[in-house]
Amino acid sequence: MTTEGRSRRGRGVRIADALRANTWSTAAGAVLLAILAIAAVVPLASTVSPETQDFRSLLQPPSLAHPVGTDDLGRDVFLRLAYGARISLLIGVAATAGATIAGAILGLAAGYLGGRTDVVVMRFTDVLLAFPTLLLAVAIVGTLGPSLANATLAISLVIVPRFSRLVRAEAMRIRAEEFITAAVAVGLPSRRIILRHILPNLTSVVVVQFSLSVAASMLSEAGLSFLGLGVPPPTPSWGTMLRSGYPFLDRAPWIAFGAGLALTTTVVTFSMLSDLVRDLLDPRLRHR
Amino acid sequence: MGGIVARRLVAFVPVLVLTSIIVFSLLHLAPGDPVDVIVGEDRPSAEVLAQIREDLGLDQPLPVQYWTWLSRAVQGDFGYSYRSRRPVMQVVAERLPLTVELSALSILFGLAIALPLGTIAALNRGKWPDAVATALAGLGTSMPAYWLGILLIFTFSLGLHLLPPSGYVRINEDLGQNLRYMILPVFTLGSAYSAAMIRFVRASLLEHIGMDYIRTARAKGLAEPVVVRRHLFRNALIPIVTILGVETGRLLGGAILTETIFALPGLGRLSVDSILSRDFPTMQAAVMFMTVAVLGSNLLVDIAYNYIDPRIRVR
Repeated sequence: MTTEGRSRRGRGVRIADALRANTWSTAAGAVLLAILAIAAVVPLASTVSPETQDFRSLLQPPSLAHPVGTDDLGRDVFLRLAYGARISLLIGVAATAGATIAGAILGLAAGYLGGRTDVVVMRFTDVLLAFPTLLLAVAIVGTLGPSLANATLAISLVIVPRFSRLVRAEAMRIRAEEFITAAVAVGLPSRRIILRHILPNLTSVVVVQFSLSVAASMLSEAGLSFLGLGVPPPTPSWGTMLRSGYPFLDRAPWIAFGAGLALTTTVVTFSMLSDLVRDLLDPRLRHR
Repeated sequence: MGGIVARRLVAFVPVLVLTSIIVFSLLHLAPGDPVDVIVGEDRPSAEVLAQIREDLGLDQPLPVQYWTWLSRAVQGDFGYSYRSRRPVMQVVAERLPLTVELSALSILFGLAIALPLGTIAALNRGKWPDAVATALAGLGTSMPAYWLGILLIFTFSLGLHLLPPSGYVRINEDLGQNLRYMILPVFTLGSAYSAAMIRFVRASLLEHIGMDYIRTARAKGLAEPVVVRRHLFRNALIPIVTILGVETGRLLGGAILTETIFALPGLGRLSVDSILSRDFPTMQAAVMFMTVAVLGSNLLVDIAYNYIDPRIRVR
């Protein structure tokens, strides 16, 4: 058997072991899959748009026709929740991906090159960290105007420090290792050392931080939307549904409750899975 | 000792200056003319607009405007609000006490929950109390303030009619009423805070529990409560002080949402409202105050740490 094959089998066994040891994570995975399935299938299977208003059935309680009732404009809440899942997941993943790439570039530059680059990058990070993250996101969206793209950009920007700090610390640690000294000694160019020797060793910590940050980004999106600075209406998002359902809490609690439960369930399952990812990938935990 | 304080202060100033530049520039990155906000619906003549611009110094080059703003701001003069036409400092001074009270009570509430729960979790590692505390912490971090607040209003205000759903009575008017209005907001903001704290307390205690000095204390026959109180706590709770500083930013972010749900006239709400209405002088002051609070609490924690932990003092 090749080394490649053996390590792959090793990883398969590790995942299987982890799943067996983490019944809760497995359950969380199943719930998350169900949410993903609803987000993917329900909008395709439905004949009406989530923006279709029906003034004959305003604020209807849950029924067979409307599993989570209707809102103040007679729109089907379940359908809007399914569409909202797409927005939440899209922004959560897109914002985190953007922050990962930007943070990795900044962190690598600061950690590997050091010196003046390091000072500049770290000052930039310090300044970003000085703002309460939500306030900074509000200020960015407030300045640029509310839209899907601007919300994603704002959320992405405020979590860049998470990645740049982590990558910088790891890059500094790896740079001190002997195999890097060897690579420098044989005269490899910096670009090649960064891409071929440092970057691959960073993957697992970055993946762990990525999985942790997606849930946080989804919460930020909902927070911005709740303040009226996320995706503009009538596009459904969980945060906007919480906001618009709030005044009807006494008459039609299902609007806010549907959105709140969907959001919490998704975030809880996501965090549980990211704990699993951490157990599997974090080299610092693996040998324990 | 004084050297450390001085060094921290020196690192603090450039960050503060950079932050103030960002806060100031937000005004000019925004599309649209700030003068439009001042004149509102009625469209005055071009001369009047030019006059307003000149009066506010908006016709000056940016660096000059920034310098003027900064030199007045450090003296506590943030200009006049575009909307209410009152001095910004007066508006901020009205809003500040609420946010300070909300944050302080939430920190106290959060610690009152997190210290015992985190300790119980760490001392019973792997058993059911640990599982319960960890699950509570997980739920707390996944329950955003706006959702927890809605649940609380639904249960305690609309359902049981026990507590008011929104509004505020000033602390100097009627302390009892003031606290009645603060219960739900503090519970909302404090829960998220305690969730984060439970994890830190648990992790920090677990890190120290395995150390030699604890084994020594137990080996010499000390009663377990004495080991925990006198040996474990005194060492393991030091890192918690750092977290108090780090978490300030998140706490203030949560305050923005909490003030929104419970219709509390605090600084967080003021900053969002001024951003939404493009009331730039108010926005600059509100954002600056919150940022200084974050930077200042980190600075204080850094300095306090030097006093609390003798191992750092030697360096």
